[in-house]
Amino acid sequence: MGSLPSFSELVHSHQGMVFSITLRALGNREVAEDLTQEVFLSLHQNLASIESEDHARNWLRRTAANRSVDEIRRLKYRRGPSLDQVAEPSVDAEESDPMLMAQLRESVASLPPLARMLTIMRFQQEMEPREIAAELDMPVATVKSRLHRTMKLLRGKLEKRAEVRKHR
Amino acid sequence: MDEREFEEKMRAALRPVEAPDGLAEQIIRRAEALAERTRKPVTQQAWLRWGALAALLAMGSFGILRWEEKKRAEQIEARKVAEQFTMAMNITTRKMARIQKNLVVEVPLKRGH
Repeated sequence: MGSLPSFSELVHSHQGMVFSITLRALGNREVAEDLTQEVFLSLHQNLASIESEDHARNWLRRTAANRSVDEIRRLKYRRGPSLDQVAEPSVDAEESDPMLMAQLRESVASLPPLARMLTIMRFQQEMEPREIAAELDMPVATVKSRLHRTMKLLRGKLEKRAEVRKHR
Repeated sequence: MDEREFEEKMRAALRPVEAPDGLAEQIIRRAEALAERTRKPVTQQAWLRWGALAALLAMGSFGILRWEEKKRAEQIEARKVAEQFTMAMNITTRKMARIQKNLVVEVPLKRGH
């Protein structure tokens, strides 16, 4: 617990976290930027209920996660190109294995909304299953089992791709 | 690739990224604009609230005055009725007393015969 910094300080300190969550969840920089702005504007409106910087960080992370899940679902049911179709090529030249990284991100982007968010919270935000459970208001056992299933699915996809490449 | 290695790859693939340049400034500008927009209606709302309160008080005072007036009229009416009743009772009592007096005078005369 500590005193609450100004809104401007909160934006500067946590914009990276919120943008990272929304970008990895939605796979589109433009949509992620818009959603990041919406999350912070929502914080600005609820600033009176925020007690400390820790509270603000948890609030932002939870809101970013929930809003991303809602946005994925909303875009899925909307007519027009899906997020996967408009997603930007996510190959980063600085990465040690850019192709593998791109494949992994693509596989994560193909996951159902909640599984996608659990994966991001576990591996990007380095949160323990009990922390994720508390933040998303879910039983710990459900978080653990869904993460386990998701990892199995992602590994299976990756191995399948490797095999296809080997046979070419 | 073992499980630990796979998890490390996942961490690398999903690693946090830097927010785009100018995003923070854009957010702060939008928040200020939003606060400015909502501030005016709040002042107007305050005026509306005070106006509504004043109207309510005026209506309340008027209602109380009317109620007191009505109550006073009822009391006057009740007092009049009571006075009329008392007067009627007095007349009746007086008449009854006269009749009784006549009766008392007449009865010994009849016994005397």
